[in-house]
Amino acid sequence: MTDEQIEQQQIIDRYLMGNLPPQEAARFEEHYLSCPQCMEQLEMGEKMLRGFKAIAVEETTEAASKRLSGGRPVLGMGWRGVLTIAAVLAGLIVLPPVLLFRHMGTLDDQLRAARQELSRTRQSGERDRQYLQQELDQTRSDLAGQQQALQENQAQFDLQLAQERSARSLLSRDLAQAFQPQANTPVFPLNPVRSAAIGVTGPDQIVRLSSRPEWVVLSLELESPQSGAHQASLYRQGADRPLWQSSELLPNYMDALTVSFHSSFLQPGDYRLQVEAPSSAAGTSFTFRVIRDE
Amino acid sequence: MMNEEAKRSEAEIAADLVERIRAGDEEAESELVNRYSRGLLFMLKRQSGDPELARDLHQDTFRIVLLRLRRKGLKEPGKLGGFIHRTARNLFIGDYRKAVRRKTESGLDQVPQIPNSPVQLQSIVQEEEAVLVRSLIDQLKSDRDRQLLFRFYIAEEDKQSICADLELDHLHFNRVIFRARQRFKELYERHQRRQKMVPVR
Repeated sequence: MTDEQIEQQQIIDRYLMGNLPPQEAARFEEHYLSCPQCMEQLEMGEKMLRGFKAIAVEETTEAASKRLSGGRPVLGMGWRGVLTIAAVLAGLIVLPPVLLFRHMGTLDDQLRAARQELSRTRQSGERDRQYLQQELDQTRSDLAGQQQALQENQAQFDLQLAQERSARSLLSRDLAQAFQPQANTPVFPLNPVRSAAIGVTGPDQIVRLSSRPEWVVLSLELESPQSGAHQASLYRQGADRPLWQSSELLPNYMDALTVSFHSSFLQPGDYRLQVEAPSSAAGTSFTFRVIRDE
Repeated sequence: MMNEEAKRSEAEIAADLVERIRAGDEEAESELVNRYSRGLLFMLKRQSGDPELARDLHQDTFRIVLLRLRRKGLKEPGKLGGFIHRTARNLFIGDYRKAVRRKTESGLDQVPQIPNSPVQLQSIVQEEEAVLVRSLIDQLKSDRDRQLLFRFYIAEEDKQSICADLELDHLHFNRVIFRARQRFKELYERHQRRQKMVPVR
């Protein structure tokens, strides 16, 4: 037990008034057995407490005797007078305890009423406290819900951000690679397919891509080369809308048209490249299958 | 009251006393009695409510404690205070049980007991204490402080409810109680000095 504990928790007064729980009282007794400072305060406190109690008793007795002293004065002498005085004296002997008890009864009533009032006030205070506590709990629960929702949103945003960052990083890598000089660029020579064979079986020309991103060149061998710009359209097999189109393809010195695609553009599957010569209504088709190495 | 430093030295003092008594040092026995006597007597008076019985138990406690220390010492000599406290309590409880048994066996439980303490002297002491408390109350400037003391010491209300009713903080409450005790002590000591100055006839 420290000085601070004893002072702050009013250990001395509570001990003297018998309001200390038994275990705490025993601990304090063990302490003060050899503590002269505590002993001094205990002895003084006990005297003071006794003084207060003596005053309380005095004041109660005084109040009772004031009531008694309000009696009528005794008049006349002789037998009647003597009898009257005797009766009054007898009354005075018998009455004080009776009046004292009555007075104590009144005090008891007043005390009971005051206690009831105090209890009512406490109950009302307790109700208010409970209501406020409920409000507080509700607000806390709402806040917790909002906080949870915020945390969930935050987690979702974080996930999206991570995905975006990853995609961006891949794109940046691809872009950086695209600007790098590329050695051993794969070139795939493609031969035209007769129109009767289109769609009957799958394409037998294979464009095999490696797993890393790269540029590939498709070299289209023309059956009847013509000078001037050719138009070319790339379709996914079975689709009507072209994936890519150009009308500025010029044959090279080997009478072939060359187109380069980035491997990320060509997903595995079957493709058809339709080439229109400048002065011919009939087009030439080149079909091929894209395969990507794992 | 003691701080941590003093507490440590208290354990050291206790261990030293135990060791010396075990070694047969009679002076150490007197030191032990002087150190714990006042507190022990106060405690026993409070527990028994009977000063005569308290004095008997006080003597018995020291007799038992000294015998034990001379013969065996203590397993934890630093906790001598706790040992004295437990011994006194056990003696008190034992005595109380015996008294209850005596009462039941003799069938005298309906007969009112005559208090052992000298009633007349007790009432004079109480009157003096009441006068001193009145003087203390008269010296209080604030009516609120007066109310505080009455409610705490007479109505025995708890600190929380008094503070709430009088709109006081706990610090103020502690201050009033502390000052009241200090003032009462001054009044008491002054009263004691005056008593000593009265010539004996």
